[in-house]
Amino acid sequence: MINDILTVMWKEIKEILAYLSGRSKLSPMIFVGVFGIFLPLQMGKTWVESPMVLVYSGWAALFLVNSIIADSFAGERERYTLETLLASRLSDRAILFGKIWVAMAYGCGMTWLSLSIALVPVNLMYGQGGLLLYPFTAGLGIAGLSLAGAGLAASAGVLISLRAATVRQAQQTLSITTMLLLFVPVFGVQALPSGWKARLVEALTAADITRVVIIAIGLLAVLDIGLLAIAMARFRRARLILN
Amino acid sequence: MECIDFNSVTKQYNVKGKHKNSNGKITAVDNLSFSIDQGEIFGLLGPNGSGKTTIVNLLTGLLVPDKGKIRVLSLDPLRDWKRLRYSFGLVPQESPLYPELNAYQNLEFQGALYLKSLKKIRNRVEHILELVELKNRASEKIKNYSGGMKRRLAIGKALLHEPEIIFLDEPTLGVDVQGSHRIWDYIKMLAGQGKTVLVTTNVMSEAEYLCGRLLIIDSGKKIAEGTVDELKSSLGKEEIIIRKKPSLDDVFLHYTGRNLRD
Repeated sequence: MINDILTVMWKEIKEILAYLSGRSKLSPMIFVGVFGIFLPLQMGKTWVESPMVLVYSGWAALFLVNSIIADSFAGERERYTLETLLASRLSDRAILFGKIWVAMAYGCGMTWLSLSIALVPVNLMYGQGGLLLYPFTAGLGIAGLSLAGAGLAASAGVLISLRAATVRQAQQTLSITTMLLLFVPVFGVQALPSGWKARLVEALTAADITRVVIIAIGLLAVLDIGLLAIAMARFRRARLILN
Repeated sequence: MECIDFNSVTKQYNVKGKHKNSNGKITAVDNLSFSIDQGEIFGLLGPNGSGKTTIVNLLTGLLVPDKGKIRVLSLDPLRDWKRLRYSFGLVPQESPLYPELNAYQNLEFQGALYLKSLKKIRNRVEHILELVELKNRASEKIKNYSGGMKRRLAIGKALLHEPEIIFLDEPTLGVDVQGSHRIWDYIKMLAGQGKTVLVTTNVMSEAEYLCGRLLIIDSGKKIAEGTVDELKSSLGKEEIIIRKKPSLDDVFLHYTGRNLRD
């Protein structure tokens, strides 16, 4: 099973690298430029010390996975390779996990790379002789939130891509879902009565950041597992061909 | 020796539109039976939408039949899929290749799925590239290939793990005359090696040149079955007055009619 997953991952990585070797290599370069150089220079020491970097790590991984996951099954269908992939000796799970793990590795890898690169300009400009690093607990938070964010995007994306006829359709559905995920909590909080809002801000200010992060990772992990279970149940060969 | 047994199989799809029956379904394969012997090139002839691809998908275990029994090498394509998938190669209607990868990488992926050692994968990839005459273009991305090159590579990909049975769904679709003849040569060569080949087509010259036995289907039903000569002589009695000897095109049109199936 693991060998089969690795074979699928090998193919996916080759495809991503081949795709990125063309004009598309600009997008990851822009991403690293903005989040690894520009923003850290703007924020200075705060980049390393503020809990904002935790929020950033979760969102960045999620958006990066979103940029490739739509292609996972809808792309295979569009390229007519889905039929032979399903007719191969690979198990459903090897195909599914191979695709999910590659997307997560891409999202987390790029996030961690940009966060590591960010330390260079921050230290050069604001280091003042000492070495500025993310605190250990922040590092754990970054790892947990980026994995959970990437997992959320990957399992939701696979679910959408499984049902989409084309990559474009999958991308559109995924964009709308992400926008809802981003804006519903923001507008939801704004719609609260002012007394409730004040209490919420008070609670968040007083809360222990570590605890909040642990709860956030836990909630995301539960969501990830739920979505993954649905994707596994929906990934049936006959149904995919009929689609 | 019988290699494929397709026994009283029915397959229906749920569809929206005017062609559905009273159950809201369309019948793609209707109580169809046929068998294929080992080492035979068997042709499945039918107009567009007659159920040819559905039959291939049923044989490869990609679709579940509603009724009937299917056996490939005495195995059930659904229950014994893991064992059976080592035994067949599939070339669908559209060439199943990854456009961003080159020919070598496409074959390498197929090899990694079926073969254990890296050395064996490399040897087989080299062999197949030579066979389909694409060794000089092996490092080129598939998106730059012509239709004929893609088709040849797709056939090579299906042969990489040396399967006993090859399913070819319209193998020369969109390929020029030269390319088609080269593909026909490969298919003949496979049969010469004792492999069983099922070819679906609606090109009469292809069926006539390649197939030992033919099954003509329309709307998922069996219309006629036999060798090219048997099918021709079955029609000859009726039309001998107009023509010296009917072509296979005549046989096909006689059985399936001249109406378009759009």
